[in-house]
Amino acid sequence: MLCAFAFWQMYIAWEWPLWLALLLSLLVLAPLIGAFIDTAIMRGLEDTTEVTRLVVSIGLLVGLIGLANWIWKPGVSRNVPAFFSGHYFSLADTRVTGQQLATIAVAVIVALSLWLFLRLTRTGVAMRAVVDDRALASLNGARPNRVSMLAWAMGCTLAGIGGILIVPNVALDAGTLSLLIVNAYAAAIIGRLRSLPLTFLGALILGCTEAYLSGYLKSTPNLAGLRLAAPAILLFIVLLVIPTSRLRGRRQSREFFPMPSWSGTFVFAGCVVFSGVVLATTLSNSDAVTYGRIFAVGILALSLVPLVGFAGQISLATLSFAGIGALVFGHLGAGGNPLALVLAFVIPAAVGALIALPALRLSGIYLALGTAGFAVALDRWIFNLADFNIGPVYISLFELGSTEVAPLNIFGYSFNTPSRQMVLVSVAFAVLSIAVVGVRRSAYGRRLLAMKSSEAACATLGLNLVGTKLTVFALSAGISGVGGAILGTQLRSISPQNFDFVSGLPVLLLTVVGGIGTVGGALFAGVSLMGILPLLALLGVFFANVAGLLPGIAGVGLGRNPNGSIHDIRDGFEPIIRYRPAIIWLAIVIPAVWILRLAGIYGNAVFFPLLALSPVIAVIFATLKIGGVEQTPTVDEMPLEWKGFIEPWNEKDLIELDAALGINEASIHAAP
Amino acid sequence: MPLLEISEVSVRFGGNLALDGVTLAAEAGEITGLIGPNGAGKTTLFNVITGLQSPTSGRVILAGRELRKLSPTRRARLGMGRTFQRLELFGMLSVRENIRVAADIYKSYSGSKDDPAQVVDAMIEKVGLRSVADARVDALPTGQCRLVELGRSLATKPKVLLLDEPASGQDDTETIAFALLLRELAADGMAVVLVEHDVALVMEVCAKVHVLDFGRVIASGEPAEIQTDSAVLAAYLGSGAK
Repeated sequence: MLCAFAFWQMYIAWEWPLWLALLLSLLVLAPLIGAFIDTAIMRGLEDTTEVTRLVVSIGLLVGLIGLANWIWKPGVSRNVPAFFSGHYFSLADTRVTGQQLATIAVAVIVALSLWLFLRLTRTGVAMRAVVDDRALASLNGARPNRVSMLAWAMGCTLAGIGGILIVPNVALDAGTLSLLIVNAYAAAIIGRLRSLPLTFLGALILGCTEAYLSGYLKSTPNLAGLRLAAPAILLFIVLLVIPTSRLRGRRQSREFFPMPSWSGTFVFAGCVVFSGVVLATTLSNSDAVTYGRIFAVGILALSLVPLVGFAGQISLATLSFAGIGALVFGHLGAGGNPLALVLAFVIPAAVGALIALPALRLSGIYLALGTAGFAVALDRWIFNLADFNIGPVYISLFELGSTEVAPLNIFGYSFNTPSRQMVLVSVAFAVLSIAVVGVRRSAYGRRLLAMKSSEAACATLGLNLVGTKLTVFALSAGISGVGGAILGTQLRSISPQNFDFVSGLPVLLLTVVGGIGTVGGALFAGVSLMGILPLLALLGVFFANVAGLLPGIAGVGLGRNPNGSIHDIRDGFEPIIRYRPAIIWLAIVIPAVWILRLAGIYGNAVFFPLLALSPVIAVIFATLKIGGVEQTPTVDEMPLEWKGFIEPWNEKDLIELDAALGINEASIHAAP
Repeated sequence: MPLLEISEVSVRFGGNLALDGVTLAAEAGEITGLIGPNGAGKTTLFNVITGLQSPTSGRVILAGRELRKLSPTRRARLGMGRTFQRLELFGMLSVRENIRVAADIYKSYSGSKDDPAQVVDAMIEKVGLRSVADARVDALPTGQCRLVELGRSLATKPKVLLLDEPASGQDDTETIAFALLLRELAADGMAVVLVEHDVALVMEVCAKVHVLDFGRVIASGEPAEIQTDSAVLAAYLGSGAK
């Protein structure tokens, strides 16, 4: 995608010669990007879980889209003329253009040379060896780091070739080009990520299917979207028929999420509702609309906590279930009937279970791709269908545009203003957080964590893996549905664009960055996506662009801290928890600051800095009072295993060690 | 009739025959030993018995019932328990929670009236882990981890218990206690199959021993017979063993 943009910049915008533009974008820029990705990002990811690696890749994707949109403003039409335009020859009745011929020729040459490279050259063999076993390959003289850097550089060049060849046929748009990843994976999965000839065949099948659909199906409007969704559907089908691997055994990981306590959870929920009330009473209507989505997106993120955090499954379709929930509430919740909220849980949950059923055989990246295929098929095709009937059931979706969603109405009290909605959604988030913690603390939650650690062990204990995965998928989809319904009541009018696949990625990304195993991580995602980023965008165009990049950067930085930042944030507040007067101080100051704001003493420009400052002051004060968060142990209370490391070793240490371990020195040194 | 029968089981990985027509049996109330050099196919055989690996050919029969078409979950519910050579513990949970997961699962499918919390306490007592019951299993030494796996498996009240190198990582005192525990389990009527490199332990507790080498059973019999079998001495025990 970046190569295609760079090529356009050099060849069209700067009118450089074709050969120079090709040379610079494919043989200089692309390998450099590849080498950079490998050294700066991928190398830090050894020994992390699949979820982390996947999220880092998504972060990279989101970040690159942000970068491209920053440099090349979207919405401007950029065209690249077909290569060899005007040249063509005829084969029977078919006209083959120079561009098509060049594409085929390049594809064949690339495929052949890649095959020869991997079979016949020393580096190619080393590359295959590194994939098999990195440590073993390096013992045999290969240099895994150099090899993987080369693989990344080559991969980027190949992607660049593809991007430049396809640009004359599709729009030069970051989103469109990035979604080609679905097509690429559909083809690669047919080749099972191993076989070049089969991958080539897969690409041909995919291309022919798309061409066939666009040639013969255009006349029926309901199937027009099918062509766009075809690669995603094909990907889904292919994933379901490839042979499965055996049950996963235990994977070592650095991740650990401590068991949340009830008291901590209720304090958390109370703070959430309180901040909802504070925001509702201080923000203007338009700001309440903007920042009200903090908690709605928080609920979407919350849906990922049991699924990804506890059970170790992956779903990229959160926003699709949210879309279904919003639709259900929009159509069935006439007048804001709260019972429709129950249906907004039940129906997405049922769809979630239905989708999960075939997807259960998959794990890791395959599961992620399967759910991505479902999400793309939904937002490109199903969501854009006109109303239709299935038997007696009349199904109406987005009515080919947008659908109105009525505000929620509970016992005649309508949540029809942004501030009322703010309070409502913060309460919903708090209640669902408590429910999720309840799940974590239950026998079911233990089972999910056990399944995440070792599916093989769970199966040999008699756990019904299918049922367990199915219920957690349904639970997650249901929570997403409720979140989507509530988001819908805030948006008032919903369209398929609100729930598309790409917009859903940052939610997963930031929840993992915050801490996927905790409800705090979900709040982190909501606050950063819907609170901090819009706030940054207010500061000016430059900051708005930076805001576009931030989720990507945050995701890419994840390799360093797989447990999420919420732990660091909580550790930062540790001194307050340990020093009681600081809590009392906060309990007085924050309401006081708020009441003064309500009395109109000052405006929001003073209020929010004051609000942000008070906990900071409390932390500093408490830290000074109790003398720092962590103290280095003095020599006397030094743990035994530190002896000889932070102080020079001496005879006294030996005596202490012997005493502690019950060793008799004389017997060791006596001759056998 | 033996509780567990394995008949002519073969497993082929590509060109490598990991198991070659293995036939053996385990009686209820007895400890059956399975020894052999590394790579002989012992763990593969356990994987076939529990359904984690499908055999290329052959049959596994539990209490007269052919298991071929059953998933690992179904087999576990019929009373097949096991531990793993490469530990498969639930790393994020404590010792107590690890065993509790198993007790809860057992209660959910067996309709047992026992209180899972009490079952867990009993198991912790039985395998001798009371002092570390609330520690996270990731923090425990290997020997104790193996006991957690044993306790976890016992919480599902198995009829057949497959133990994959349960004593590795244990010191001499622990091994003596472990031998007593194994006898106790067999006395309760369980069919215990023991894969172990500690030959002294195997010879001491097992009623019958099978020796596996390159995927084939090269000898079967009582410990005394095995110790003098020339094929075994050549393949495994080494010429110096008595």
